[in-house]
Amino acid sequence: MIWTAWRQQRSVAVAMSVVAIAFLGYLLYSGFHQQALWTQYLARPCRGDLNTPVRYQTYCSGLLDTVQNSGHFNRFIVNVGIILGPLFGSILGVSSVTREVEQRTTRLVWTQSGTRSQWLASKYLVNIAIIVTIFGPMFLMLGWWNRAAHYGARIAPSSFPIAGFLLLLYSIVAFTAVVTLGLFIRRAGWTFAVGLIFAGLVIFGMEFGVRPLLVSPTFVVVSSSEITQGSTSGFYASGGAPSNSWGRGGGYAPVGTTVTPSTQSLDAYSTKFYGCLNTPRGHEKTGYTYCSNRLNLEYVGIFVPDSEFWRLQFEEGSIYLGIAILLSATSYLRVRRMLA
Amino acid sequence: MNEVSNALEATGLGRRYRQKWALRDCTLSIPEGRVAALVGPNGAGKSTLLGVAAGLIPPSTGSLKVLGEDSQNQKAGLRRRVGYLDQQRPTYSSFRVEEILHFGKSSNPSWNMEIARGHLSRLNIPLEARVSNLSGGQQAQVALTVCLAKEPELLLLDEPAAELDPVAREDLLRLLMRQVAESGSTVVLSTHALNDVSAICDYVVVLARSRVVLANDIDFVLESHRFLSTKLSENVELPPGVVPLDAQRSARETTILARIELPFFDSRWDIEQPTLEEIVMAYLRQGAPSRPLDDEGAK
Repeated sequence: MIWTAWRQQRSVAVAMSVVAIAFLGYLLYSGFHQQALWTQYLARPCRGDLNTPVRYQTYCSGLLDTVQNSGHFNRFIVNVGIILGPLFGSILGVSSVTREVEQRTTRLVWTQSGTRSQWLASKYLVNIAIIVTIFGPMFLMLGWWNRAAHYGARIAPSSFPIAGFLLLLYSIVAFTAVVTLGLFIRRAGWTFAVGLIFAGLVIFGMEFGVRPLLVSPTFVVVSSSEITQGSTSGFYASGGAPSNSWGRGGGYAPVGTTVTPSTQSLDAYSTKFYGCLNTPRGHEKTGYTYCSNRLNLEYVGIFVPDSEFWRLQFEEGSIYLGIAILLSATSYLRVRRMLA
Repeated sequence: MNEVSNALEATGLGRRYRQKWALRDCTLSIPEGRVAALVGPNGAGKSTLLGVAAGLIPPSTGSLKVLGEDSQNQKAGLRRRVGYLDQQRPTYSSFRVEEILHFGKSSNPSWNMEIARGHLSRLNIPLEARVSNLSGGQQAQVALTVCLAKEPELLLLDEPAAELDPVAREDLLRLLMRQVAESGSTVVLSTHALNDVSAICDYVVVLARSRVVLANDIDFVLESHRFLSTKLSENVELPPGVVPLDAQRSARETTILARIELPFFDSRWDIEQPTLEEIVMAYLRQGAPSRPLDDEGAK
């Protein structure tokens, strides 16, 4: 059965591998190219445009333009990487199970000496092996590319799916969803469409609905220095969330806060603070300091530190795995009872 | 030890698709070692009965025992003993013939590669050919090969000769007869070709309007039916025990195809033996369930 399942998927797996290799090749080129530019930009004389000597300023701003231009398609690359997971998983699910149900070759294979459960197990085994073979190198490469291209903090939502192993699980969830749906819908086209939408909703829901609940954000006090010299006013802020963290916003909190304030608390104090700034006294040059002292508030930045990255990957990964197991169990029950 | 004597044993078997019954109140038994024909018009329930027997279709009512086990038993043991050829001959069209044989071998512990290769070789079907490039008849032969090389105890064949040319059809019938002779397998095949039934079958099941209307040994069926003719002028009543199935009236005489009880002697009637085709056609025209024939006939 395993041989048959592999033989059925061979050409699909080869086609996917070609696409994956082309994508990996482009990642390799793009990663090395951007890494080289960043290295050049961060080294002397530009040093990331900090304290650049005047005579190098034109050169450095030109280099910065090149760096930015080379990363022009980065968002596109990340999106392709993220879409490939559920897309390949859905294609594998349709071609291995739904098409077999639709073309009724199940009537051939289910009347051989193996059981339906064994048939389904062979499909899962072979296709998950294909997914791991393709997406194993891909998620490692995307993780490397994310660092090399200085795309973003790995724990930030834009990088989080490609910086760990979640891409692999996106594909597995899409595969199990399509397999299960296909056993009910029985039509390849519809199953593919519905499965892809389902996987998309799960991923979307996880990113915006579940992941924020899984994290344990911390906070940092942003120190501010009032600018009172010259004609300008305002303040200079220093400190804040580390650059490799997932910034979750900020707001005002009582001075001396020891626990991470909730969003509601931040909103409430911030409203008070901005109310104070809107008073005549608050409009003065020293209004910021006045309001801070009067209300005994300070600005805090909320963030999820980079150290939470793997914990979050494993927690979210476990949820995806749970969904995949649930779908697999449903498909197992369905296949035992369904009409061939 | 519980001795199994029936290859198929249906009790009140029924299968309904939404409101429509595809098979209803089906009670029959087909003894082991027979070549049984399922005969009936399109939509009579032949494929449904075979599908239930193959474990592909769960029954809505009743039960069906296959080789002594519940047909819905999903364990590999029963599947190993039963070969099934679907009416639509589903097969992996992207595979080469050789790969289809590999599929059969990897899916069946009892696979006999000699039978498979021999059958295809006799039919000049190249092993390296892609299934999608074969003709419909050749694809049907490949599907049949998978079924036969498994060497099952019970062969369920849904219109096996439907897409075959006359030569291939003849070959198939010979093959089936040889298979039965060599292995003692039971064969249940559905067919519209009544000639095939007389040629190779020794048991017949007639289905009409989703119900079994006749199920018995062909020899017994032939012996228990007669054409009875009488002049129209003679107002003769049917003798007791005679069940008319079909009547034809000409200007001079009335001819009735009837089920009779043996021995039958009645000088008022001219008696003639009908062919199996004529008997089956009479049942199909009648279409309604009738009193089961004497069970002795099946023994």
